[in-house]
Amino acid sequence: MNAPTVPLPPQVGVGLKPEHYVQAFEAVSASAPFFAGWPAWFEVHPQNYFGAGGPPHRWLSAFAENTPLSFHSVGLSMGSADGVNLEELEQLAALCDRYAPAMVSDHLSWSGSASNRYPDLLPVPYTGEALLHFSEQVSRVQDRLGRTILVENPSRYLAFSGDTMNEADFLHALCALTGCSILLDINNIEVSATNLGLDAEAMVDAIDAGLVGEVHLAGHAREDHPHGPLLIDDHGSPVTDATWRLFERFVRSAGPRPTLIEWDSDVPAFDVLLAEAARADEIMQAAAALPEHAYAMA
Amino acid sequence: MQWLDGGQSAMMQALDHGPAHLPQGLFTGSPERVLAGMKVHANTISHARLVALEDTFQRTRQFIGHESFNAHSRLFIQQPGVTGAALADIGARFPAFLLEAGEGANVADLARFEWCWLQSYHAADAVPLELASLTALAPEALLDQALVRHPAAYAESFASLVHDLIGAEVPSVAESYAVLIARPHADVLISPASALMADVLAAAEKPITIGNLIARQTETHDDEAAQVDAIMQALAALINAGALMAA
Repeated sequence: MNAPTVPLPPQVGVGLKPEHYVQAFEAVSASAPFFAGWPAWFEVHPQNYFGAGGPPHRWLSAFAENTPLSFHSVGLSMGSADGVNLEELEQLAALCDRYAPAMVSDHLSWSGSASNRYPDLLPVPYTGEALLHFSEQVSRVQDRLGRTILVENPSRYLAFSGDTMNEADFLHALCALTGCSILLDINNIEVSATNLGLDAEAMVDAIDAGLVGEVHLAGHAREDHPHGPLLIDDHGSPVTDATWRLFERFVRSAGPRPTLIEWDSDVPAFDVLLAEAARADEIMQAAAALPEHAYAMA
Repeated sequence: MQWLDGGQSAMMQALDHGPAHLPQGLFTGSPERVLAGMKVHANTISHARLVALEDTFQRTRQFIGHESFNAHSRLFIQQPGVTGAALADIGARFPAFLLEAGEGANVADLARFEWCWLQSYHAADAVPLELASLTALAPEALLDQALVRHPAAYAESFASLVHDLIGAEVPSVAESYAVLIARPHADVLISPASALMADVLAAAEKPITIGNLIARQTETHDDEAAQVDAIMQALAALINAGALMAA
């Protein structure tokens, strides 16, 4: 069993953290959601569940019985010149067999070589050479998992001088070559646009909404330098106003999508995540209330 | 420079050994801006590795202090092979490194205890053997019953500091020969273990019948009857702690 048993609903989800297991489970096991913005699904980093057993799996099993799960991998390293990390791929495949998540995703990035791991999401140049290599690795992953995956646009701090296409074109070509879809991280768009002097609204508008299977919203840190601000994608603070505006712009055009509130460092109380989720839900409800034609025209 | 054939390895060189290794012209923007971008990646990588060690060895860090722990961690992640491991496994050789770094057996064993605890926490779930299922067996069947170590069970002897620290939380561990770490169900449980319990658990690393276990453990003992009693008591204690399974 590897294909998803239930799809990810076009509603708000939150990242599942051990410190929130009890509170989150009390709610998902209730017969009805506590309120309209209550997370309709949860996302986990599968790498946190690569151990064979123990309490993490007890919790994940309990959640999987009650709510759709999205597996957001951070370790496949599909952009590595040595190819996808096969050990990670086998572990991910085993976890997918065990839990049949509604969605599986990883990043447009690389994280090491065959002999060395860099626990970060390092940038890939937007060239034909990188596109062909990356698409081969995505296909390899999809073949092994027996399902298509989502690939997330990265937070960028560096732009390659040899780039021959923009990020949207690279992602669209990747989708065309492999059948994968896009995980659109709108915080990453704000980070990359600010760091590289790009137009964030234009970046959002350039994405083919029909290819977007999931949206991420998160906060970031900011450093001010003589050469300009540097935004750092640390997932350690509330979603910024600029990212909320970009999200609203996207969903007014694209309609509601499965949308994650992502918070990985300095994890706050569960109520704080719920407040962020409620805001995202409000924006999607408003978008859903728009006349159908507005999706295409906004 | 092609990215796959040189560009990526140049970036790795720069991440490992500093920006002097970064090829000119690989990235756009001013040198200051490129340096700032590379620093974000280098800091993220270093931070993730150090936090993984801090999270794994919380007691050790508390015992030797943050500064000392951090200094050891920074040296450790530069050791050959360490950064080839996934973050979840990066600490496997840290206890041995602490010993080599001159911290002494107490600190190295405290780290070893924490690593054992973590292995138990993440070990495969398995149904432990219940004492009641053995007491229902006829004597011959009891001797033929095969046992094996539960995947989450460890009986290890540590330096005195570890026994004292754990003994403050778990009665009798301060004076025990070994510490039994087991997770028969949801939680990791700590209890004292005798030398014979540790020997029996080691013998059950691969499936072994109770009859063969007794034969193996009594062959060098003059008072065989007394030793059989002692083995059965050790077995009962291990089973009560959830450290064995039926094989």
